[in-house]
Amino acid sequence: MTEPRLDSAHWAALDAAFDHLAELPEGAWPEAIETLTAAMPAAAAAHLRSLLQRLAAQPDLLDAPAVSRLALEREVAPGTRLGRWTVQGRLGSGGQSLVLAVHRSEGGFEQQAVMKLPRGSGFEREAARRLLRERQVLARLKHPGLPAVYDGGVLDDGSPLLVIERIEGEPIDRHCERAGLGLRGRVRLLAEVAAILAHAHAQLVLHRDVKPGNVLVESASGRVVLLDFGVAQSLDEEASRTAAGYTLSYAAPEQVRGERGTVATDLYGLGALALKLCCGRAPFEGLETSAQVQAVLAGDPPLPATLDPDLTAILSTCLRPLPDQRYASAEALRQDLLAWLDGRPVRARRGGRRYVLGKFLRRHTLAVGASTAAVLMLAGTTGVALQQAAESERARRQAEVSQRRAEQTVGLLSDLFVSAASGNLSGSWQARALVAEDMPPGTRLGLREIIDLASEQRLPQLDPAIRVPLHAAFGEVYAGLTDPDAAMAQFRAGLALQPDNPRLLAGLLKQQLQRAQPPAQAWSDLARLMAAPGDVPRAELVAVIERAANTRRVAGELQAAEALLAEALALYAGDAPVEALTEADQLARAHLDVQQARLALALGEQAAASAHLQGADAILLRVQGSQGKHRIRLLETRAEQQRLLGEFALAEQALQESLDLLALHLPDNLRLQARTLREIGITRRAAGDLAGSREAFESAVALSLQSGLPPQHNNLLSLRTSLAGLRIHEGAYAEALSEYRVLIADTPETFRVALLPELQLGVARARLALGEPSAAREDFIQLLATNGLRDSIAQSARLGAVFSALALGEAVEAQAGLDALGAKSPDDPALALARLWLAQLGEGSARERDIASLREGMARPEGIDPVWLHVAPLATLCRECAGTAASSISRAQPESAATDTEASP
Amino acid sequence: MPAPTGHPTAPADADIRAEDPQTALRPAAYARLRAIAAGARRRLPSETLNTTALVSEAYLRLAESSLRSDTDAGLDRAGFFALFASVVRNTLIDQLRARSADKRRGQHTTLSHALPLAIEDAQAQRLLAVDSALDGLRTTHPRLVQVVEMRFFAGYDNQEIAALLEVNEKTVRRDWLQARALLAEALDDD
Repeated sequence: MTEPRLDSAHWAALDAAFDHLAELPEGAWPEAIETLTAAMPAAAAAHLRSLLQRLAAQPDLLDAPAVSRLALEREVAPGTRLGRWTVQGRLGSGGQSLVLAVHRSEGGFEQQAVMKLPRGSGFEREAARRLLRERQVLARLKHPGLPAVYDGGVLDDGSPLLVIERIEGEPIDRHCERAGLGLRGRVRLLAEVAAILAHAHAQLVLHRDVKPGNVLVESASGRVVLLDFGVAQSLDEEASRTAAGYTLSYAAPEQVRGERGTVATDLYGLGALALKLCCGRAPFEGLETSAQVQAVLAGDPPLPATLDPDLTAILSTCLRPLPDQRYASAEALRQDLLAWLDGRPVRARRGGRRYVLGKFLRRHTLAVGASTAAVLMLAGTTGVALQQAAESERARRQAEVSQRRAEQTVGLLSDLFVSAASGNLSGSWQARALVAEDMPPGTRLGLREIIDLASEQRLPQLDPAIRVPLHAAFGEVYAGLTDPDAAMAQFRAGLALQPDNPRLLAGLLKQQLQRAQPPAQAWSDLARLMAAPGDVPRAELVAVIERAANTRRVAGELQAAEALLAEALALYAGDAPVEALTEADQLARAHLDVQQARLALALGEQAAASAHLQGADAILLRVQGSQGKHRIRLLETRAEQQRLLGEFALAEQALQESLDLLALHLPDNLRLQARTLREIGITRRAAGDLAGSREAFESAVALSLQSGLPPQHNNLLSLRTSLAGLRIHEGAYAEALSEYRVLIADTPETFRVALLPELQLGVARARLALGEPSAAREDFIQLLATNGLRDSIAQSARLGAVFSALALGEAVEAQAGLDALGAKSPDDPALALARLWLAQLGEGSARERDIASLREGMARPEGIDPVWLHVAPLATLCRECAGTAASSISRAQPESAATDTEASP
Repeated sequence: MPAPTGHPTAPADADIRAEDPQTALRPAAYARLRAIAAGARRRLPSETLNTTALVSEAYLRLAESSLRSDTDAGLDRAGFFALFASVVRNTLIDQLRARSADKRRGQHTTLSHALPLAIEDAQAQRLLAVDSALDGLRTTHPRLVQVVEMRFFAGYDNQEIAALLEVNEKTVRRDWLQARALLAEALDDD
């Protein structure tokens, strides 16, 4: 307080005034103050008025407890173990994350890393979101200029963590100083940063905080690494409001204004970094904060006259105040930096007016008409987003988010549309495939809206020649958004204009072949595509063929599958070793290997399957490391093999690993996680762990429902079939019967062919077990009359007919059935059981080894169907067997093939 | 009040007999701060702030042992809670000071601080300003300081404060009004 020491009379007067005021409602204060002040010493009266004014000016003063704005910070002492990692110390805490130095040593191999985790209790949700996003971004971007992701997971308390490569190096500006780099050396480093940004932008990821502290140069290798995509990526409202994401000296004017970034925002940051490296200071650096804000907004930072004129042109293009006057892309900037290094003329010198309308329009002068249309239709979406704004506060926020997304997408996609429209298909293939493939389902609302609107309203107005590539691009984006119907509609619309377009055919087939029963035309389309693949990249073509082979294999057409795989492999015949192929081709090769392994398993060729799996894993480990997304399918196949070999623990281990990878790479794809849980359920049941199996199946059901699948969906029907099957293993035959019957009623027409036989088999088995042998016999015989019955189901039905006949005492009929079956697999324990029973009825002859065979079958967890054991008079057939009957159980039932065709990562 | 998971709970049952009341109350003060912070995070302020169980526990222990029998015999119930609130305040402010000192020295904050706080600089500065403004009031208006400590730092509401200090709730309301007015002035002049 600045007042001189006040006397006690002064305070007494004030205190009395407060005594009085506290009793009154605030509305009565003005009048009371008049009365009070009239009777007070002048100084005290003035003080009272001033106090109340100041109080009115700070209505929320002290309104919440002091601690309420604080959060509890996580304590992590050095030496603490978190998962496989040991904490060495704290590197810092940025935003909501705590950043730790960690290491681990395994098998004499020491690894240093950086761990990020939520900073404290209050930050859990937001930090978790950001960490997951950063993890996704890094996993998706995979580039030598970005830190590698080592680990990701969840701590015991549920907090997510991210472990990334620790770069031993220093910020780029310090590196330049210490290494005494000349101008050319610095520009070379900047071109590398531009390449990293171009890679990120191609996948719809912005950085938004490019500055020296985020660009490290690794001491040992000189490698340039761009750090901290955690802040940068966020498209959520909170991050944009607090504007915590940027550093003033490197911030573009639009960031300072609180607008969302676009590609151009990162280019400004890179320009500011370039200025720092080339001239020693960032734009307006050193000014007092408020002056600096003004200067950044006014724009056009002064560049030293001594700088090379071409480099000056490049820098000033980056640093233009209006985003659309800067370079059109990071790649364009990189090209100019390289041109400067080579002594070629740089684009930026060609004059200011070229940039006014956005450079991509100019670069593709032929395509101006089309790209203008593309920009217009994108701009239309922004208008829609703004309209929504009026509805309510919540709707407003969402609209802002989608508007920002739309704006951002405009910048990122315009280039795409331009290349599509200009017929430059091959150049944008890879980017497009990545954009589409890695789009998290449902999250990019803005993009979805844009594409919906564009395809419904604007596309039909365009010239057909432009529509074809746009249909293809939209179809691929829809495919990436896992909306196969919308994707196929786009491909079909394109094919209506140009029936032989290979890219459209490939896109359509990839979707159709994901389904259990592709239309007949798909096969002739596939033949057409394979005959004339046009500019479809080899890896893409191989992926389509591999899908087709999968569909054939699942349908039991193993020879057709084999032929397709041979054709796909022929595409790589005579090529350099696998290591020399492009990454996309290497991945396609690995998928082919996995598919061959699956086929080998179906053919019972264990050794061949192992060899293919090893080959695939060698490729995947080399290309993507042990945490790579493409290992998911490999692990599932390995699990299938281990299960067939009776190695249930190994099978479950592979499945758990695959589940971890799913959570890492596709955390939103609950359906795939459900599919893996189902496999775990099947494995546990085969291992005799019925409770564990039920738990896994039920989790899979819950996840499937949560993912929005309707209860009548194929996947859910299969899961419920598995649960009904478990009932039989549990000995709850009545429940099994009613569950199977409900399932038959629930199965929609489209899946009846695929699912019904297994359900009918279940009904028949349950009825037999419940002591209705004549009804069961009818059911089995009727089932056997079905066309195209799968072998495993037919075998079970024949056995069922035999056991029904035995239970009815029909020895002759049982003998006939047994003879037909016995020729195929004389050592089947179920047949041994039937023979023993038949002998007891006075027909046929049981052999010495039948008892041994039966006992051996009962000892194996999947040796013999529990229904057969339940109906047979075990005690009289084989006294020693009766005791073990209760504990034996669990025969792996043929699983319906339906979910095998679900989209794989 | 369960402690938030992942954070060690301050020992509410620490042996508080042997030490001086300030030190003895420190664990309870930490626990109280944690409870307020956790409660505020979960947006359940009323439920949390009405929970006096922790402090009551400390109080009872203190009362059972040394309080009535020997050295601190003069400290009655109201005195105890006033002391407690001021310990809560000092505990928090000490933490903030230690942190900003660390920052000035350019050190990483150590991990072993007893009260793990993640706090924005601006918020910390604001709290330190309130603290020094309160010191300015101590000579002229000790009772107002006490109410601010109990309400703003220890998180009690007016009714609780009235009960703990054994005064009329009206008095608390009045003191709170005047305290805020005087603090508004002091903070404005900063």
